[in-house]
Amino acid sequence: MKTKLAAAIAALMLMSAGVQAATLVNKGKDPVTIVVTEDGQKNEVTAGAAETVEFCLAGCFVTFPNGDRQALTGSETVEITGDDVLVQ
Amino acid sequence: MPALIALLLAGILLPDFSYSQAPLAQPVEVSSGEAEAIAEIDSQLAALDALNKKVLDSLQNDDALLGARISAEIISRALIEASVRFRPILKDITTRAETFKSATAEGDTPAPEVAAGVAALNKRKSAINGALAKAEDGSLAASALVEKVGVARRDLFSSQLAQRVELSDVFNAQTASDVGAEGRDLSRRVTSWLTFMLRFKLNGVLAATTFALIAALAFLRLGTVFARPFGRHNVVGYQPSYLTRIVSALVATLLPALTLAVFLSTVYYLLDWYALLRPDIAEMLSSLMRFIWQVFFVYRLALAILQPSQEPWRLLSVSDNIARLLLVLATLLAVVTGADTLLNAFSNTLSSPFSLTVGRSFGFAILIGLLLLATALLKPFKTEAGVAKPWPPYAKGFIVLAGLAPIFAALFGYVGLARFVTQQIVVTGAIAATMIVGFLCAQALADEDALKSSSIGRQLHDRFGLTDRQLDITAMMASLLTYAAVLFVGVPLILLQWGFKWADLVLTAVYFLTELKIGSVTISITAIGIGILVFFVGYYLSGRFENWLDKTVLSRARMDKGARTSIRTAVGYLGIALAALVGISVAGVQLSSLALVAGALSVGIGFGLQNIVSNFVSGLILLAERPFKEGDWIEAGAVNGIVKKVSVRATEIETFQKQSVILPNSSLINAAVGNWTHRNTLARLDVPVVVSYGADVVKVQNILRSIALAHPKVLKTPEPFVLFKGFGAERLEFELRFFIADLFEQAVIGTDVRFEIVKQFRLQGVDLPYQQHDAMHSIFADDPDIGSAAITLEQNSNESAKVIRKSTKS
Repeated sequence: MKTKLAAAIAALMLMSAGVQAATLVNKGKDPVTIVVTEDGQKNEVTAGAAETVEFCLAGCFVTFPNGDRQALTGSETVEITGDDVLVQ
Repeated sequence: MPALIALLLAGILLPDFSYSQAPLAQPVEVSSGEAEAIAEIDSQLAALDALNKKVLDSLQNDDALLGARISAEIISRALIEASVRFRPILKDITTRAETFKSATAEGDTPAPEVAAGVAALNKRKSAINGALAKAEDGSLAASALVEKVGVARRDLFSSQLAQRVELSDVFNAQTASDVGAEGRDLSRRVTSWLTFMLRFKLNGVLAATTFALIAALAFLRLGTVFARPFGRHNVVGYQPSYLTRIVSALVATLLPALTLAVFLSTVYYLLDWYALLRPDIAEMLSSLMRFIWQVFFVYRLALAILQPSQEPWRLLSVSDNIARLLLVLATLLAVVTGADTLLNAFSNTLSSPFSLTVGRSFGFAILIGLLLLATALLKPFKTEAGVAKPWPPYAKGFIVLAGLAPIFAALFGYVGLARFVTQQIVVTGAIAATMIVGFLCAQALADEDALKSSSIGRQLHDRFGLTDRQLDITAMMASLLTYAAVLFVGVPLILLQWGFKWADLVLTAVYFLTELKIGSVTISITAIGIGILVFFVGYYLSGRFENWLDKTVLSRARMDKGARTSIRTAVGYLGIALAALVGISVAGVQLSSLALVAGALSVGIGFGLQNIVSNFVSGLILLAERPFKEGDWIEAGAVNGIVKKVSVRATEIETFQKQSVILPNSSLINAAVGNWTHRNTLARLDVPVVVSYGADVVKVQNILRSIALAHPKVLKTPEPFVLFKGFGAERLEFELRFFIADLFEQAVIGTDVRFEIVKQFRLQGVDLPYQQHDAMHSIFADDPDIGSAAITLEQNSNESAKVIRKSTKS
């Protein structure tokens, strides 16, 4: 029974780990727009005030509103407060 | 690392000494990680450039294009990985910049060293930003390259299919001499290698072969021991079940095939290890080994399925002759397709002229077409009477078409198309045949009793003690899993074979599983699956918790049984509710929208579900208040019996006739419920007695009292009491009242007492009144001994009368 349970939990974790994306959280008062380069395409992703947006399924490059660039693997959470960017 | 420690130290020191100059004095140097990441990005970009050139050079080579595509994807990934390495460095830079900023008061001109530090940091940051921009462009270029390769491969494919060769260019004297030259080249290479081997490296070859033989034999021996229970035992008249046949077919195919694989690969790797293989020989030898293995595998598989000489073990219901023919055809097909691949590998190594490649493809296309046509002419099936039956018309038509297509394509010069068609037919056919065997296996597993009656089932039963039911469920699950596995492996394989891209398949599958849109609702099948799984896990855990609580905590707390049951039930329901809530929220259903539904439902509950809700609430009250518990003897309306189970909607009561009565809880709350065993099992038993007017009442009182007192199970306190109830029409009415300790013995004790009363009355000459009914009168009238004696007991008067009749007759 215990092994069954362990297997079930492992399967659960695998499944939940299977589909993941980076999360953009806008903590500022104004909407922010970031430029995401993913799969050979440049797209703009906009998050309104206090909004959370999912993007970047499997690795991407991002340009933030303050001009900074970063690369993401697709499991990060990006918090933007005005000009400050925090990637975790 | 030192930078990190410094950073940590700065973090600790800063809050107290934010104006201290110490952290600022740190050098703003470029860390080694930074330089490495930049170098990595540059090298990947260089590799991408080289790849771009390579693609331009090899637009006609599909294998090279495919390799380039994979390389481009790897480069794209590597660029992202290298770029991610900047993240801690960027964080470090930001932190330091903050430090500098806080070192200068608002409006002040920064100190010169601060300004220099800020400038250095900005420089580093812009360098990193530049590298990131380059990497980003690189990843865009890599994606563009992948696109380009895709287009090139499509073009190449269609041009190859549409390419037409003049057969007269291929089949002429030149080609014949080419074939001769090619054969001589091949034999020269092989002989030179063999001579070299035999002359100088014979020991190495012998050692390699011997060792490989030993390894293969050891593997075979182990495999035989392991697979013995699933093997064949040829007893005359034995009819193995379908499942047994399939499993033994698998064993009979896989075991020798794997043994051969062990032997061949060991020989190859040992020869390679001793450096005995020249590159060209290595390539040809590995192709030859693959060819031998493929042919052997197909032969064994066909043999296992068809069993030309052992009818009981045959998986397809065909006659012996057809089985033999099909075996030959399947083996020939394997030989022809394998030889095509083998010769292709040879001509790649020997760099054969184009005409030879075309000629070979032509020959194989014709051969495979003919083989397919021969298959179409077979009569593979049997009617009920055992007469051979041909393919169904549509299948026959399909096979004929599949056979004619490559032949005609080749004859008209479209050799590329013919080759493509034959490859597709053979590979798709092989996958489809394997899938069919898989489906048959799943179907056989699903049959009831299939596993039970097979040797595997017996093994499971003997080793793990599985019951028939468990075996049946195991078989069902295994069958479902087999179906799923066959579908999940087979369908993508066929789709890939037909030119679908793996990435597209994965994306489509992910789309279906995670965000299937129906109207404006997005459904995630994965999330729903996980939600269901979470619910079951939660349900299981709550059951475990309930058991643990009951066995470990409640039983030690010396709670009474009723309270324990109540707590157990409440915890159980709570657990289910929690598991359901968690499951629902994991499945992605917003609990707030659920509240909306609940709000709408509450109106419905007000009308339609009123009864159920009232029962539910009553059940909760019953669990809390506990007017009765499991095992109590209760009377509720007309129902009189023992409580078996109190659940939230209804209570199960078992009457003494062993009828289960499900009583809705609300009726137990709204009406009076009598509980005989609420506090104790003490009960008063009333035995009504009548005597004739001629009897001595004091004597009657004494007899009754002494009878009650004499019975061992009648309580002495409170004392038995004889009630002189009244003067009836023709008899005096008494009632003997006494207490007993166990209510459940009332029938036995009551009967004992009544027997004793009749006995004592008769012995001591107390007259019982005449029976009033004619029927009863006639019974007793025959017997002068009883005379006027008769007894009426209010309860069970008929039974009592029968008992008396029996006793008087005996």
